[in-house]
Amino acid sequence: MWMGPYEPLNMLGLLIQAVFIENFLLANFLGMCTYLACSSKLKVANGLGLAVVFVLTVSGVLNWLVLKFITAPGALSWLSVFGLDASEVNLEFLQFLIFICVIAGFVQVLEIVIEKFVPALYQSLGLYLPLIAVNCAILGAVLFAVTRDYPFIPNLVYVFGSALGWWLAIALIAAIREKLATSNVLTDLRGIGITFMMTGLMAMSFQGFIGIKLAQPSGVVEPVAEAKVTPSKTDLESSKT
Amino acid sequence: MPQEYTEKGERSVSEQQLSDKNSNSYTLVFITVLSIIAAIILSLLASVLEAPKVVAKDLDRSRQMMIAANILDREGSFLIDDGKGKPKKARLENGKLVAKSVDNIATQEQLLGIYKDRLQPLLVDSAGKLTTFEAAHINEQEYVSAHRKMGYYKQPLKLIYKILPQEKNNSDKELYANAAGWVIPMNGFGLWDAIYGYLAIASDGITVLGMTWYDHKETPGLGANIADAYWQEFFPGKKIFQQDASGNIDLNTAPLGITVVRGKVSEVYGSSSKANSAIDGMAGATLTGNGVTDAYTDVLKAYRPFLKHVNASYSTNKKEATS
Amino acid sequence: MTHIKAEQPLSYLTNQLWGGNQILVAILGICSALGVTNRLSVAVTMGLAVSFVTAFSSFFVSLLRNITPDSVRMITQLTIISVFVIIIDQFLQAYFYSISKVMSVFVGLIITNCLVMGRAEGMAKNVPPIPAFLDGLGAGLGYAGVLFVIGAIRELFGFGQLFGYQIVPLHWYASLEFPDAYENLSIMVSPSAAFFLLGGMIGIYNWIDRK
Repeated sequence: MWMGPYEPLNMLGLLIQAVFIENFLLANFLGMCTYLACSSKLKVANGLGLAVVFVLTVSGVLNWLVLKFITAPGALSWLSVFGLDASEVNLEFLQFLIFICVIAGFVQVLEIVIEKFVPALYQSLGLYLPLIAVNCAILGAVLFAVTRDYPFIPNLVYVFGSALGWWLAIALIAAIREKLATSNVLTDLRGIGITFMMTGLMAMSFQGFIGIKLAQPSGVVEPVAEAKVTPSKTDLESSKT
Repeated sequence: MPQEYTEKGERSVSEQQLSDKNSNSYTLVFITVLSIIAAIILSLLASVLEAPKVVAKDLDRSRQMMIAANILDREGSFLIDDGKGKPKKARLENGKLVAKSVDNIATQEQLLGIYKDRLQPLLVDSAGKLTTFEAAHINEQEYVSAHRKMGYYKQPLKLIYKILPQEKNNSDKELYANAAGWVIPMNGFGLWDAIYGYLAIASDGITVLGMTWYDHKETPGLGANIADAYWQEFFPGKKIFQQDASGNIDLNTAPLGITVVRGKVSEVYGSSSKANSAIDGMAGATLTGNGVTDAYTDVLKAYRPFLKHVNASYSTNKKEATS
Repeated sequence: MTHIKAEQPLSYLTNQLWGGNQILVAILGICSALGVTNRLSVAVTMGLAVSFVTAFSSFFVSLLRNITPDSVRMITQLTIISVFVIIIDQFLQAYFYSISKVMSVFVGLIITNCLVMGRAEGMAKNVPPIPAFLDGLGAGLGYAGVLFVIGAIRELFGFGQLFGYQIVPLHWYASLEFPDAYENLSIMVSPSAAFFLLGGMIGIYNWIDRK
């Protein structure tokens, strides 16, 4: 449950993969809207990136718990503590709804906490928090982690790395956009049009990372069949004849 | 006067609280009702669609396995062996497949029925001995879903499917006998994520009947071509054991697996015997191709003792038939 | 945000198709436009799914607009949108399994598609249900239109096909005898091409608009 078949070295590989190779913004194209709206200044982009790192890491962990204990098939078996046999109940169809509510709820709580305890931080970050709740990248990273069925630590590393990668991409593009603002661009392409083309070029360059496979688990799985009754030799002989 | 005012004031405040939509109690009630309604709608939908969803998923896997085993063609009609080793279109009549030359698209029930009839899931251990799920006291559903991702070939008891022939005689006790072929579930790692497929081998344990890669997250148009009929149709007839220069196969030492080469096999291997264990690569998808090659090597290694057994009993049967 | 005061409800819909096109003008809903436009069939499915979700969620958000408390406005919108997205997802898994395999997580990502939220927040909570429905439908269709064009260009030049049917004649392709003949434009398969196409389309749109 904690590490599964992944080795500690795989964690480093997973981190590198999440930041560079499968960069959320440039390889998976999630989180574009907020990035386009807010990337004209590097300072703003940095604030947004930092907020995303925090929100994504924590909600990634929270949603892993939701997946493990509520929505995965057979996940509700812990209810047997209360005498309820809920192992057949499959709540997978509620997955999207619960995930997005957890994310939005967490962001709301975070906003309140920051406003109350660290008002200075609220001044710089607080505006972006509602924007982040509906950021495709957050839900996207969570959903990708779900389809890959990571154990706890790889999941944590993956969501953290994805957020870092997102921050990296948005910081890079904000820096370029700041320079582009004073360049002589075609009138029709000015603003959004040229930003897209620049992003396309950056995406192409990040494609150069494809194929570096560091995160493949190679650990040996504890075989399940050992625990069950192994057939005796005579059983096998008789089933053959 | 003040008494009245206070009473009136208090009453109107609490009334106002309920009708003020920004009050806490109202908000709580609103959210609770909304959540309940949403949950009811979705639960209804999920329970109605539960059966079609399960059927769709099983159907997809079963279909892919049957295509690999040459029981189904890619357009959806059944196939049977015409006795000379060439598959012909067939239709289900009275529970048996009968050759018919017109296209007959099989229905879902027919597909699942024939699947249950013709493909028997079994377990094989590292020494190559076959056993059934019942004899090993393992629940088939649990086993199949638990080890799908990491690969059945890594388990001490590995999953394999026996392709039963059209006409079955009652020698079901003999697990090795009467197999029209075998299907091995393949696991590998492509460029982005795991790839899953089925490799169907003929009863000699060496020749490929067919191959399908049915689940992958590869790049559409590049690596995703492994799921295309066009590429999968290179496989039938290939040999999973590599022949040596004179065309013989030593089952103990020959390299086991199929290599996806860069470019065309005819250019890389020409007419040497290595060409029989190699497949044309896909342009721009070298890494996915490497993943496929590795999948073959890794998975088939675990089944080598079993394949040796199969080939041994096949040769014995052939000798008995000709003598 | 321009407030559209129209006498005819239908103008809510037509406004969204060109003048207020969500992708080209409001620059919303980009994420999925890049990820799923590799193949035309997937792009069309996505466009239709988004239209369905936007139209109906706008309708219900508008229906509930007078009784929704302000503090939970966003969560309410998210809940309503999620319900419709889940409906589409379950439906695809049950009856169109092969397409749902290709689209995988992108169906769930419709929830956070800025376009859907943008319409709910920007229009649906201010207008009656029927105009909200039409506005949502128009936004979705405008989005589907852009996706269709990008998908068509990418599939045609990247694979030589449209909807899986070969358009570029097979004998045009390079082979051993004619190694310099036609080859597919593989950059079109990579998502960076979608960026270029989108930037170009916005440029063209601005140019047409200026005239």
